[in-house]
Amino acid sequence: MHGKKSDEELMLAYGNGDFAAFEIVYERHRGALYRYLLRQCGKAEDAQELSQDVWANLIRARERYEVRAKFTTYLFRLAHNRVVDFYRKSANNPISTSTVVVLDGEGDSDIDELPASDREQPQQRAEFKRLGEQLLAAIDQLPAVQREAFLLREEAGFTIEQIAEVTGVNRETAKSRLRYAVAKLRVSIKDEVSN
Amino acid sequence: MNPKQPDRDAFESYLQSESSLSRVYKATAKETPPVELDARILERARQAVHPQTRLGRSPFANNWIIPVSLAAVLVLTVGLVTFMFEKTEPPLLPETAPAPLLDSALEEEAPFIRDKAREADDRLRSDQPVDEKAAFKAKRRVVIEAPAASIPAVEGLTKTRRQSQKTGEMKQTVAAEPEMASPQSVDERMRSPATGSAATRIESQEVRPKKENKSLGSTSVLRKLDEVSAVNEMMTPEEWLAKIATLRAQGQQTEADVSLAAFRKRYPDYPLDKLRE
Repeated sequence: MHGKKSDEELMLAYGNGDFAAFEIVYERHRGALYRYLLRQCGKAEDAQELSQDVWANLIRARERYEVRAKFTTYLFRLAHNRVVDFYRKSANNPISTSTVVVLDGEGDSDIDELPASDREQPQQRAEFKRLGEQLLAAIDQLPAVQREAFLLREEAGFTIEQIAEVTGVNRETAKSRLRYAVAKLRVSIKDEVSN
Repeated sequence: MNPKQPDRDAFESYLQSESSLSRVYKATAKETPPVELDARILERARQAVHPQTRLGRSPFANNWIIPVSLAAVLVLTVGLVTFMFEKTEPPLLPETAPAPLLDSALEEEAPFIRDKAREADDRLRSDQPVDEKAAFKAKRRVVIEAPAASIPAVEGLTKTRRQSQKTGEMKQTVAAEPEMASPQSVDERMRSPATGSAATRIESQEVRPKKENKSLGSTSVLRKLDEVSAVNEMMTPEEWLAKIATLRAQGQQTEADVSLAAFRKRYPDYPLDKLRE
């Protein structure tokens, strides 16, 4: 019944007491939100706690929810705020700092040329898996703001404008963070591939 | 040429379409929240909109036990304290409180009853056969001489000598007896010293001041008949006739007529020659 409804419609329905609408919204975004939080805080226990808090905030705000923007923007804005609180409390790797790491100019787009068929072979599949682990490790090494920009792009599918809205910065800053993040990750993967 | 141009181009390409970077990331990053977390969040969401329904059995499913237990303990405590308080209080029970009044009233009344009974005995002495008169007198004596102090409380039935003196007449009043018994059982009770008080109680109920009510309707007459019959059914026919004679001797003709009518209703075949004589 709710399957083809947008997130915004479902959230409005849930605000009117339709629990089934919430179930669909949750199913759509539970994984992306969890991974976003997991990459940001680094521990599964913390990610679970943060995830529960974010969804609880959404549940509490259900009756006040208004369709002003995309639902995912609203959801990840809640998540961003919760992550900022988490970093403030832990005093570790504060995401609130607006430090932008200047890209040193290195980069390579060769990995974009990797044919999908190469990953079909067992050997390539194992290589692809190792490449993915290397990518995750590289993501962990990114500055928090760049990592957040990349995760919002990959997990939520946000545009630069939406990333800027969620993180509370202007478009250019968001674009710069994402560009630096992508460039660093390309380098790490290229090195791994070349090795 | 700008050295950063290839990077910009790669970035624009990354934004425009799904890049290998995105493919690798999406193929690798597949973590999902644990099932327990899903259940907690969904339960919370359900509770927010449907507080009365629950998914499965939560740790708070037995929350009703504590308040119900407290209520039960409270009720038991109050009951126990009340019981102990009543047990230690001086005897002010409503059943025993009127007893002294009734006893004193009967003590005052005892000579009066004795006189009236004696008059009735004298009147019947010449009319009744020897054995019947002796039996009646014996019963009457037991009734009159029963100790007034041993009379228990009589529900809803009180009589004061003072009232009867004011009205200047004593009329028989009937009232419903709570327990119905056969003439034989009443006879036994009257003969037994232990139950003599009950018989005296019956007698004391019969002698009551009567409110003046000349215009009795048919309904009230019938009810009166039933009441008289109910009370006098516990007597033997001889006792009943003696009482009627007593009423007539006292000038209570109306009460005597009512009692006689009840007697006829109860004993339609009993010869009334003695009473007429």
